[in-house]
Amino acid sequence: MVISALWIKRPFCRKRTLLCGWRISISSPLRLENIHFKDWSVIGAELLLTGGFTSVGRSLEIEIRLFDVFWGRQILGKRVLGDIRDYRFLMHRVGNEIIRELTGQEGIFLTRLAFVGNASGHKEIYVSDYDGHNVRQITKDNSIALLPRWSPDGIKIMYNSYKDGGPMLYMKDISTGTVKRISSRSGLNIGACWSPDGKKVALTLSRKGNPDIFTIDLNGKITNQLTSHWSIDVSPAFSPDGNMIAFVSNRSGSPQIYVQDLNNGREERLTFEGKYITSPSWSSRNRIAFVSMDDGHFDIYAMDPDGGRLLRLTENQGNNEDPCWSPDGRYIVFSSNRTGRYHLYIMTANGQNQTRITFNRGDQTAPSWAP
Amino acid sequence: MKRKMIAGLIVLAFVCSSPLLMTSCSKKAVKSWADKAFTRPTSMKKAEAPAVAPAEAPGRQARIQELEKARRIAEEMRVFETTNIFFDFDKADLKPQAKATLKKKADWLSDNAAYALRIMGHCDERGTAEYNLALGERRAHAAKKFLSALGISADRIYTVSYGEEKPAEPGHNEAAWSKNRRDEFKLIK
Repeated sequence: MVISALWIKRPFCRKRTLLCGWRISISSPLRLENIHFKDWSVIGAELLLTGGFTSVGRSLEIEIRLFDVFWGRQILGKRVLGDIRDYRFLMHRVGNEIIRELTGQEGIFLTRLAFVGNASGHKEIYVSDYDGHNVRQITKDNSIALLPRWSPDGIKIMYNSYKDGGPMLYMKDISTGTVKRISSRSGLNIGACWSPDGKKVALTLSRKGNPDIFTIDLNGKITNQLTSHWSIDVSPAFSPDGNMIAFVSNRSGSPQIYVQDLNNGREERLTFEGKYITSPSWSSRNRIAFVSMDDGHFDIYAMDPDGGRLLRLTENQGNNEDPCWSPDGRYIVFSSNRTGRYHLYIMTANGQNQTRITFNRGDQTAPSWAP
Repeated sequence: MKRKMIAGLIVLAFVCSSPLLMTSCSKKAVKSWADKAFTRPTSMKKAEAPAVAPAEAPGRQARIQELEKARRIAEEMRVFETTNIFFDFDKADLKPQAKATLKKKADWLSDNAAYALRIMGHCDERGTAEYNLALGERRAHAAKKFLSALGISADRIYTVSYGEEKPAEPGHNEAAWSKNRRDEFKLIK
């Protein structure tokens, strides 16, 4: 991220060389023999990233090299060529290569977000790149659109809209633009969460008066009823293996987070510390982020699926809500009103580097992170 | 001669029975009129006593009365629809004042059987959209249950939750929040 940010800010110089060792300095050379690794190890750098670009006419060539400072050897060397207008895409591709080399996992630089924005005067669904660029409005319901949720394949978005009167569930295919109504039962049809295999969604229905969690297939047919309790049960979140869900219930008198083992139906309460706890999001690295209200303020926390290793991620910065993990489980996108209105921010899994990513009019809330 | 007598008797029988037939007919007509809720007192009078010359003064008075009644009902409906009931944070229990308000609404609904009711449940902005949608529904259901316990048919009452999506007050403090945790009411004919 630091890497890509650094590059984006200097796209149009003729030629320039950048050095970056988790600390950034701008000076000399790209090649192994020109680097004094001792200078870098002295300041605590473990890795050194060097890179440069050449732009002739409309073409852009980017070259990067990643070094292990301790051993003084090159780990990765990449060169990409493309149109200068695609410089963000090119650099993000390089970023993903670096992350894959270092972690063995796909990076987040080519992922997208969906969120709710109200700049038009109505709440509508928008999509953007992972860093808030390329914002595009994808609904024009002129009603209330809520709770967008990307499918695991990144092609479809489930969302709620009041365009037909009540809170009903719709699925928009991003590639074709078609919208299909999935569930229009009386009462609530809200908060769809895709199963990891993308074949069904868990959601809250209240057709018989009480809000309970069900699973439905992509045609809207009910396949299973997961909870049946007189309380409010909402906000299901599948575990990465699809064997459990976390959800919010007020069966104890106030909203708290519970988990259910989908194989045997056993339920367990996970949160006991706060009085008002909502918004579970289950990461691919098996952490559950959630929101707790404390002294009238909302803040984001994360814990293990057994309630252990509880960590507070935001503090003293307005309200922080709607956490959603990146596909690799290393980052969280969330909404915060620390500057007055609600905008989207990204932070690492332990709450560091909180960075604002949307600068649009109105409020941006309820982000969902696509693969 | 005999034949003439028989024919005369038949004619007589017809003549005698015809008023009876007529009265039963007119009764039926009146009854079927009365069955409909839209019966107008003036038209009934006309049907029963067509001989009386249509006096202009009572007709006008009736019209004035009707207009006044319409005006009164419109005012009652305005009050009905603008009187919300309010809830505590994260609660859907009816407070004493809400119950008193709902009792008045139940009285009006039983007097005006032609109207159905839509109840819209709302929350303040705090908390998640999802939980608040469920809570708003709880609030609408609470009012619906109370009204049906007072004899208003549940078939006449529709509910919809808007969660935190349609605040009445835009502020971000308890003064605004307390006005936003509400049920709104809309009459449908």
